[in-house]
Amino acid sequence: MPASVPVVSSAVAAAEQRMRTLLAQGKWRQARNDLKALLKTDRARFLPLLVEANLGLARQMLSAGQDAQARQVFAYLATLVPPEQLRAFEAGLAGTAGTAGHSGPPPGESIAALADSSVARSEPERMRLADQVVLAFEPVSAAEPAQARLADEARAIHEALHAWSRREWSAVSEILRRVPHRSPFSHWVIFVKGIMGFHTGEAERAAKLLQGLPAGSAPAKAAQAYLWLLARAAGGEPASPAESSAPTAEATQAAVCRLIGAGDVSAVLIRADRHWRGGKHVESYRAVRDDLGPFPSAGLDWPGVLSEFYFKAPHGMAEAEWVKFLRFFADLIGRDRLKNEAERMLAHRLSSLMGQAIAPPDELRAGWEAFLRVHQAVHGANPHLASLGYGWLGERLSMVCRSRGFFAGPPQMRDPGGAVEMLRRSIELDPANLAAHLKLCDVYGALKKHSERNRLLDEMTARFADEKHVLVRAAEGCIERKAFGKGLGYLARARQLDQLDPRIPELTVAGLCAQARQQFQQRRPEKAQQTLAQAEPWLTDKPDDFRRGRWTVLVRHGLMERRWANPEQAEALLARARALAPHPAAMLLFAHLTDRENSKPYFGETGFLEELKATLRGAPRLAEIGWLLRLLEQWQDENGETRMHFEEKVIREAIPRALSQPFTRAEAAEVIERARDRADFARPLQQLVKKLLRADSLDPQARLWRLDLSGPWNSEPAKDRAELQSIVDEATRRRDDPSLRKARQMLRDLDLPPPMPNPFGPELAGPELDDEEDDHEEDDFEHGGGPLPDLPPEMEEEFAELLEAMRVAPESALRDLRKTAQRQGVPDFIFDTLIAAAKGKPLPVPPSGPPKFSPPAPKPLPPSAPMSKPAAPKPPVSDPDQLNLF
Amino acid sequence: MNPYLVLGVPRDAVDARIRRAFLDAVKQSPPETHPERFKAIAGAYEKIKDEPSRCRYDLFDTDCPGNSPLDVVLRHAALTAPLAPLGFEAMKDYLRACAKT
Repeated sequence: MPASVPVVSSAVAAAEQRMRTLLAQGKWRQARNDLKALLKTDRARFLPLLVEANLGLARQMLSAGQDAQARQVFAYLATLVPPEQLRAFEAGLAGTAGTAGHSGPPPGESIAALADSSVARSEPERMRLADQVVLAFEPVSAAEPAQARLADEARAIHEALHAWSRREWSAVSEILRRVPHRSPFSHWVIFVKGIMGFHTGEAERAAKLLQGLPAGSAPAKAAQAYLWLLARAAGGEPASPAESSAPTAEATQAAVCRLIGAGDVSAVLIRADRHWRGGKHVESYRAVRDDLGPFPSAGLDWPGVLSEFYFKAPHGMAEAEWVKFLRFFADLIGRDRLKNEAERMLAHRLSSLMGQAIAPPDELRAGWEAFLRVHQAVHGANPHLASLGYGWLGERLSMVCRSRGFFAGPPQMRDPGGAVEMLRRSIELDPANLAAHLKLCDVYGALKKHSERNRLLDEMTARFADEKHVLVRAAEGCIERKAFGKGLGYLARARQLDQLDPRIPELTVAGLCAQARQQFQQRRPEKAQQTLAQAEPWLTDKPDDFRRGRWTVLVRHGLMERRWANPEQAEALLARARALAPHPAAMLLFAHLTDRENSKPYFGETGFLEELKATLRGAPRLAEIGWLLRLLEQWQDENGETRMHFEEKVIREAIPRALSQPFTRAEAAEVIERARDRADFARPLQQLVKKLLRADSLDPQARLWRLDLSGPWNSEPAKDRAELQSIVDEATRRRDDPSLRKARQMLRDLDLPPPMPNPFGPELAGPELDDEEDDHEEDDFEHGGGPLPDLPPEMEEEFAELLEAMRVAPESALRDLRKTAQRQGVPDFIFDTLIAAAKGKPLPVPPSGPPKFSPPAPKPLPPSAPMSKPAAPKPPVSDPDQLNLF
Repeated sequence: MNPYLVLGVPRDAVDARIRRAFLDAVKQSPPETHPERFKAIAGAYEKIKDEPSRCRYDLFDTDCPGNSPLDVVLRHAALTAPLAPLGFEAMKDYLRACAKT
């Protein structure tokens, strides 16, 4: 008998056949049991099948929720396979629980379709099938080699994603090598490499890989959020997915939210965003407020930044929008329905900053102080911050605003007491807060609390010894109260800190002159002369330097000598001054003003004014008048004087005479610009403008002046509009930008007219002088030139009410009212007229001539020194402003 | 954007730390190669470089950090780096959700 097939082989074959049938039927446990026996016969052949049976069993257990049993199966598998293979198996099976959420054909079908070479499929189709396989996240077992190969490639993608989630970068690279270049899963390889680069800091490589993904594929869609984040991190400004309302953009929005860990709130954010872009700001805020617990917040997390957005965006909104937004918070505050302290803090801050200019002082104060309190509670105490905060509040309360009512005086501070209190508090919290100190000085000065101001300044010189501004201010205060030594000492210290500030030598000269004056008054002329000599290093020879020009100091010295010491010396000094002055008229005006200052408290004319009048009666030049106006302006600025009626009248009356002399456009411009806001200058300036227009009727600037000088109460809007438009066209043609800007502004003002001027303003600042040589015989009652203005109709009723109130008011109230009016600069004559009109009494007669006073009679003037040689005529220039008009 | 986030420093950072963060940021994004980013970094530094600046920022700053709520959250995400990789399950959900769009 030949050797027969061993009986064992037949049994093994039968067992193998049975086992394969069980595997194909998914009867994993039975198949495993058979395989355990078969393994002993041929380990190499049956081991893979045993592993497959165990995997199938584990998957079956996991699907049934039998985790513990599945873990036991894995523990057994760990004895059969190496660890990395076990990990791969785990990865493949970890998706078992999620397969219920995946809608799509079974991956096996897709694999089979991919492997079927008999059917020609397009690249997108193959890609779609591959995406289905990957997104199923199920291991696929396949018998056919082609299908098995594809299944292994899909498995590699899953394993790579698993390793990526655990930051096992080298494992990721190793696993991905199993997927060849031509694999239908190759785009997934690119995706995984791209997102690995995202997290390993290889931003450029990541962007390049992710951008190269085939459009429409699942990885390409998933890559959009990563690409947006990469572009942002690179500092660029990619079109934010939030910028568009397209569905794909919303998908990216949601995707990015998931990536940043806000996936569970992406719906809320997207809804809030949609509201905001639709202009529903309050609804947007409420959507987030109602659905997000940690919002609003003061932290640096995204709820904190989002809070910052909502509470800062109103600053850029249109008025109607932010008013609505603020009203929402005002309501929450009023009903005490704020969500948390962060909201309380931010709401008060927003309300205070937005309403700082318009809120009533007590409301502003309450809101801002509430903000500071809550800020301290949220972020901790910070005295520097609190000091800045109170300083800001003090500054806002010290802002001046126009008074209400008909009898409106000059603008007043919003809350002077509050301003002082807040600024003092600011200083207490931070004694180094210089801005608060300076502001408090300003407030004291405005309230005329000079002693408090000076006391504060003295403290400041000690506290801020190296601050030039402080020393200069302190010096000003000292000179004002005649503490000259101290003041000049402060100026010396200031000069050491800044040798280039021109204000310091100016104040030094002013201080020395004031000190010398005091010394002259004390009959110490030698001392005074020594003091004036100290000013020498600071003097300039500039003719237009009225503060420390040599000629001005000579005038001052000369007048002091004349009044208190040596008249001969005085005349010599005055003669030198006359020689150095830019114009005789300038010297005379300066001398008059200084002499008048020296003769205080008496006001009135001086001999110099008479001489000025005589000089200007001749043939004055417009340039001279410009000098005079410049000098007057500076004098008023420095000395705070408003009552310059006599001087203005002299200058005003000279203008028509100057029109008969040649002048340049620049000289005319200076006179007009400096005089246009002065009382009663309108008529002579109109004559001047008329002359300019005769030379050039289309001159835009001159036409603007003409319009401006015609006064607001006589304007005809339609006519003015046409004229302004014509001026705009001409200014554009001539490229006259200043005139163009001005004309456009005036056109805008026609639509929004400025508030009515105070009828008791400069037009009525003083009585008309009865000068027999005044040839302006026309009635000055137009343009507010008479005792009472021509009131516009809308003010008549209010004026009538005022008169009625004055008629019935008791005397004590009228006395108080008179004092108020005097403080506001209303002349007594005007007030008396009102009272008389109210009570039906005869109106008082306007005063005539200068007020009577009796100062020491000045010595008679010597004949004037010969005039200095007039300046040589300027060479011709092409600048039209410099051309003579005649 | 919030200057603390731009420079990557906490609210209680001191001057030296803020300056260091500023210099590091400038090194990473020099003006020649990243002009916009540099501008943002420089602007952030100006706002919080010392205590008075930080106080003024807290009290008075009104620069809005974005154009819309979502824009602000996304900008914040782009600044606060690095993002950690999603967990495997989260990544699965993410991929499936993106694929549905």
